[in-house]
Amino acid sequence: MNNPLFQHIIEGNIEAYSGLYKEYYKKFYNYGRKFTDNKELIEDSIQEVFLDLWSRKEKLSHVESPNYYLYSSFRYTLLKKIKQRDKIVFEEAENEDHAFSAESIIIDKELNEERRAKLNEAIKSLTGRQLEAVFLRFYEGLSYPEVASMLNISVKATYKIVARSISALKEKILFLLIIILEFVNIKMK
Amino acid sequence: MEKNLSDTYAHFTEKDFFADPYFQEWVYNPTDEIDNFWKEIIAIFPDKKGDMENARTYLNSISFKLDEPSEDEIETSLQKHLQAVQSLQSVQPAPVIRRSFSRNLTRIAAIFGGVALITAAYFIFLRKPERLVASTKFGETKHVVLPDGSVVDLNANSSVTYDKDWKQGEKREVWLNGEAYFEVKHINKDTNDIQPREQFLVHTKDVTVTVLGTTFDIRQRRLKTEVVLQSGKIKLSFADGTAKEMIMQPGELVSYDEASKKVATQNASAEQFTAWKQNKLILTDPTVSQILAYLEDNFGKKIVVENQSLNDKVINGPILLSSLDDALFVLSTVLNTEVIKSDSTTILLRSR
Repeated sequence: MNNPLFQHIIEGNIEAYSGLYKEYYKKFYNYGRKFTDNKELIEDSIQEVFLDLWSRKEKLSHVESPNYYLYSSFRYTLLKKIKQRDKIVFEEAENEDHAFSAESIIIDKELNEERRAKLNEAIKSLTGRQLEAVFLRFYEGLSYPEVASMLNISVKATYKIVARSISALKEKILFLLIIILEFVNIKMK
Repeated sequence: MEKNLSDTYAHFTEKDFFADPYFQEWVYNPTDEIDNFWKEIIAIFPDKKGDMENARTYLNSISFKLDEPSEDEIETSLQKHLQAVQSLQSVQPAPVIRRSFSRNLTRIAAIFGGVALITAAYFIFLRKPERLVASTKFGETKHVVLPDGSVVDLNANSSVTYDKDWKQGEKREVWLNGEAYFEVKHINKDTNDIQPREQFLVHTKDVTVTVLGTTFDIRQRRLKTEVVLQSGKIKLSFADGTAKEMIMQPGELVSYDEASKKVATQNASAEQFTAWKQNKLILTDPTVSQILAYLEDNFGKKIVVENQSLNDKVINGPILLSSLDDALFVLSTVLNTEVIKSDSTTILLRSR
């Protein structure tokens, strides 16, 4: 509820709004180019997302995370536009999802050749969504549950385990418990 | 729980750690809690330590390319946006008028006004233009007249999509797959001052041609789009952001290669380039493999020369395109081969 970012916009402060627009223009331009080289589609999507934001500004106080709200709207809009364009240009919609391109990854020059080759292989084994998740989580600062919901991927089991903040001690107790249970199991057979 | 963990990590390789979001978290964004977790994992699986260290090195060796817009681009976009916001505000519905007998009439008027406004907005902004598609099969060409009177000659295995309900004063826009020859109807009055609504746009996958009244040929096949301008003036823009917009001169051939993202300009005779309209193929110094690629694109058959050294041979002179058999007859005479139809999709040229 308490988001200063949107507060100015709700009040109709055009200067704050312009600042926000410019800030996210840079971010979305960078993000969008990882999907497509077509600048027009990116520009159109940014315009659309913000026009929608402005026209709904009275209702924004319900938005919990403005950053997440903007990113997910932008992603949805851009991918829709890319699909529509494909439909027109290629006659039929291509079924494959437009994914984050592995070409947007830069590998540190310091890395030796052998490790570089292995890393290249590791990058190739990632899906577009996995790449995108890294980008959104660690470069754009979205939380992992936000990334997961945006990309429609499940929150990894480890995340859930740790969310319950199991200490090392607790794990050891569980370990014992399991051994006991297995023991009982064997006995019962 | 312990069992779960051993299931998860016992078979992990460095690739798996590299791809694991929670491991990434440890590398990029550690907290005490995460640190404890992974130290615990190392304690349980000491033999995984090396893999984990490698995965950490990998994660620390990658970054994402930064694509930055210019300050100008940002400013232009913002101004455009603020204008859009302003026009949005003027369309905002009138404030609710309090009920009162004397004001009922105003209310009704306001409602009608609102309805009219929404209808207008619908027609202006939301009406999805109905699009028609004209397409040709392999070995077929077609003559299409667009609603504005412009003419499109479609080569084989091609299609053009256009708005069915184009009206005077609207921008003309078509989408092309394959190859076509355009004769665009002139509607602008001053060629040095072209209004946006007088433009005629042809889009292919990678290139957009902006046209004034003019004739030109555009050929988009495989990874390449080629444009030859016969007369008039056109502007090319490229979907890929790196190549700059350019104005073409008559007699020029501009080709864009999707793989290398390179634009090349050369002189060409538009008559030769568009010879397909007279069922002839004329390419400049074409090799056999280029001719075969053209025939494949237009007739949909895979054509293979058995003696591969013939592929680089250059053949000058027109090749008849009235049918695939005619084209193959000319080719096999020049190359001294016989034509073998091995199956319904493949044709073999075997040296005699």
